[in-house]
Amino acid sequence: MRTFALRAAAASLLLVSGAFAASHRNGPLLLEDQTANLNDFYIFRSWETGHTNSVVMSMSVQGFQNPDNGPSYYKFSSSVLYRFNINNSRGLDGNPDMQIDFVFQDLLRPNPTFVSYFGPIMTIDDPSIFLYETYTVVIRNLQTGTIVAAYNQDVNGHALSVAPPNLGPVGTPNYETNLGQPSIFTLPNGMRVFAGPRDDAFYFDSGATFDHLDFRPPAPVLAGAADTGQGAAYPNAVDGFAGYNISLIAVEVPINMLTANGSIPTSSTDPNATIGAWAATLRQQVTVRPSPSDPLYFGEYVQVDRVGNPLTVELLIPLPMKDYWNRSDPSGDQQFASLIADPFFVSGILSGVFKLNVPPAPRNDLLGVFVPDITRINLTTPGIPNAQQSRLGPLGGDNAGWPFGGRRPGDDVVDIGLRAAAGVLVSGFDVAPNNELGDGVNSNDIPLLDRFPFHAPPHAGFLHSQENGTNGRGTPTGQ
Amino acid sequence: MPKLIYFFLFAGLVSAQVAEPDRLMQAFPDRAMADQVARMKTDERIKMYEALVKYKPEDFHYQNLLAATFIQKMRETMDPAYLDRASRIVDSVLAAEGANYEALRLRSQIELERHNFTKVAEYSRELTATSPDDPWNWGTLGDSLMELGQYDKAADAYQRMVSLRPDLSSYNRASYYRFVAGDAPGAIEVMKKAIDAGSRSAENVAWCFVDLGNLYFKTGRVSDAEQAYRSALRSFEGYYPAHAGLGRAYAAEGKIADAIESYKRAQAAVPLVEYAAALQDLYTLAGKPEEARGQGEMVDMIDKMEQASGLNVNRNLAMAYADHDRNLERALELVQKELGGRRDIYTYDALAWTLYKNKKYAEADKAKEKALELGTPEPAFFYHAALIERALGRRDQARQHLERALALNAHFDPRQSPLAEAAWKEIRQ
Repeated sequence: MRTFALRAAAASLLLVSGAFAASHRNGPLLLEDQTANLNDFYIFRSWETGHTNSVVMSMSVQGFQNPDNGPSYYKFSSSVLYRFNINNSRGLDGNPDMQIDFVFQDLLRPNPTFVSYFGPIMTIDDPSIFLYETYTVVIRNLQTGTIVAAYNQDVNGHALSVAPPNLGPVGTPNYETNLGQPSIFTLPNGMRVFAGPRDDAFYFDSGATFDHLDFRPPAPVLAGAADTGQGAAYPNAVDGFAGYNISLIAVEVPINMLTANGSIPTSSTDPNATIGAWAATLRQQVTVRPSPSDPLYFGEYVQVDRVGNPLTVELLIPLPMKDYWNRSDPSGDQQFASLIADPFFVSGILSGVFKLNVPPAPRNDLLGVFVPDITRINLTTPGIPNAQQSRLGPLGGDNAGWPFGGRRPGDDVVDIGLRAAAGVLVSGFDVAPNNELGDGVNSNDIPLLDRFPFHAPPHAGFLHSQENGTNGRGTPTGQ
Repeated sequence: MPKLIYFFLFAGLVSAQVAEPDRLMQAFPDRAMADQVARMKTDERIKMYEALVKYKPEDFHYQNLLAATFIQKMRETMDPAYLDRASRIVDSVLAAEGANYEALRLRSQIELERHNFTKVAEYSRELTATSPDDPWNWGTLGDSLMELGQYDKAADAYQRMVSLRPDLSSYNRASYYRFVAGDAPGAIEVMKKAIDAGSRSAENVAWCFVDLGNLYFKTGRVSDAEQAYRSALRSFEGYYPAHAGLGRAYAAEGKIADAIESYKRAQAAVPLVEYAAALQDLYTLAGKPEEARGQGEMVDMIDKMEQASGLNVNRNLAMAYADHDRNLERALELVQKELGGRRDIYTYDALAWTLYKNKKYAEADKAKEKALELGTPEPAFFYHAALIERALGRRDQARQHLERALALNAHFDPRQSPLAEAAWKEIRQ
């Protein structure tokens, strides 16, 4: 027996000859990031009753979460600073005038199991939320250089806690009623906040896109018919994001806290009426050399990701520049203007491959949206319920959507982006097929909410729709 | 997940009809593709990139992605065949395009795995000069300088890396530096940050958990270490260094049978010489001399195989011999050869210990000073130093070093820590 074992070991030794027998510390070098990876940024005027004079901003992080990712599920990183930047002055130059920061803390409660949550979890204060995450909201005024407020409790003194994951009907019964909505907190200054898992509102036929924009018939796009439908008009198109969750951070801010002069503008031409905003994630530097005189390990925050408009990096910034882009600030985006004014996606693909007639470079229409890369919103345009919105926003006659009226969860940014890239905002190019482009996916896999935080509740782990063949469509959430 | 592979494979089939298909692939490189790929397991990535390389052999980007994935697979399995495959790809890319940046970066990583530290430092310096904003190059520069014992410069490189991009990779290195520089509490805090920063590579997270476990273990927090090793196994199933870590922790807790079981798992995955040496000691403690002898034979076999393949540098093999008081001349020779390309504190500690075992106390004394230079809280360093001091008749220093070793972790090694305690009792009188 022993001889046999040794012989087997000797055989495997053949594989481990050489330097491997004396391994060194080969530390990881994959520069992949999960917890600080921003997906989308949203900003829109609320249409929720009683809150219509407020603006909602949200950011989604950690895309493609499998709802059944037990036992530990996803959490916000306690070493990341999640930041909303607001620019309301100087003609929107991409410098922040106000920042709303979210910083998370973990509390590991006594846990008899190996899972982070062990239900049934009936309330947000349930002790069986073993991984209990809370957060602090810090509001900064950059013009005065002051911290305006810092809150770690709501107006009733409850800790600002992260919504637990949606395990399923047994572990987290009536998820949205018991856990989702109660995780919305009103701050003493009147803002409302939410942090927790939600459905990814982004929708996009990513599979077909990878297949060389080979959108599925009868999807229109570059293959014939116009993508004019509203809702699920092209049943063969597949939402590659269906059935996945993201982690959402959302804040609802009264309009008069966002404007430079503290007003609620009523005229759309009032210079205070338009603001711009973007999201960023930052991590703390660490001092490599220990110093007995300075017991602090961690130093200033370094930006590791940012997102203003959807699709900027995907369509307009070449891959090798991505890291540099992510470290930089929107105020310096002029340095990317030559790329954005003449994107390869337009010249090489829409024109080069698909032979569309597109406007010539430089594309000042794109510069107006993407430089600086902030999402602009006119605060005088009221929000309207999901059912009445056009997924195409201003291109569909609905000015409360991307790219001029902010960005709502329901906006079809892929179709809008494809058409804008094809030049529909330029006089003479708002013609077929440029204004008919689309991926065929015209709505999110599940209904969005008409109330804060507007993103749909997270898919439940128990009903993990990636495995049941429906690809998320028609799968009930909220349970 | 296989669905995505089909998309890519199918992409190859339709490519004939599309003018510039590969440029289309780059149209949506970031959000969707990176996220999709990030969800794939290493083997799935290899399959996908192999398909892409076959379909577009002249596109170096896919070749580099494939090479990087082979290196990741090698990290997970320790199978050097994967490193060779990565190396062949990188060599052929560089033969065709000498300035290919992605390939140049990978070359540093490959040479690091091959312990060509001087070369890596040289390559990395060149890349930091041309691309000073890329944290990767500062990482490989720091790694090679650490192995070359140039700690001050290594700290500068790591500082650049973490200042450019604080994340799992850079926090991990900052933590390691802090430990080596004598700051275990700081190292632990920073390693926790590395874990919290996370990665889509489960293996990378597991790596940090193992590092955290080792930091706890060396500073006597054995049950915390055990927890960290368990977390590593939960992150990345079957991770062999985590099994070895558990073996170390169980041994310290006196759970010899469990320790043997864990080390056997590590050894079954990757038969490193230090695992055989540990098992030899554990079987001896368990009263199983036959099995212990078998593991000793394994150590000899590893040596023979290394000699047959022309390799004479392996300080871990040298330590296995020195710890068991056999083949002492060979042990010293192994360390001296290693010192040619590696001048870090661990190699100096190995030199000190093998010199001591060869009764060359004056030289051992000098080597141990180098090992202790930074005040690294390695219990074994102080134990080795103590026995050298004792041999030179410096009983006070010997006692202090022993007390330091035992205070850090009184059970740092199943065979050596009882010897350390006995020496301390003897010397105290």
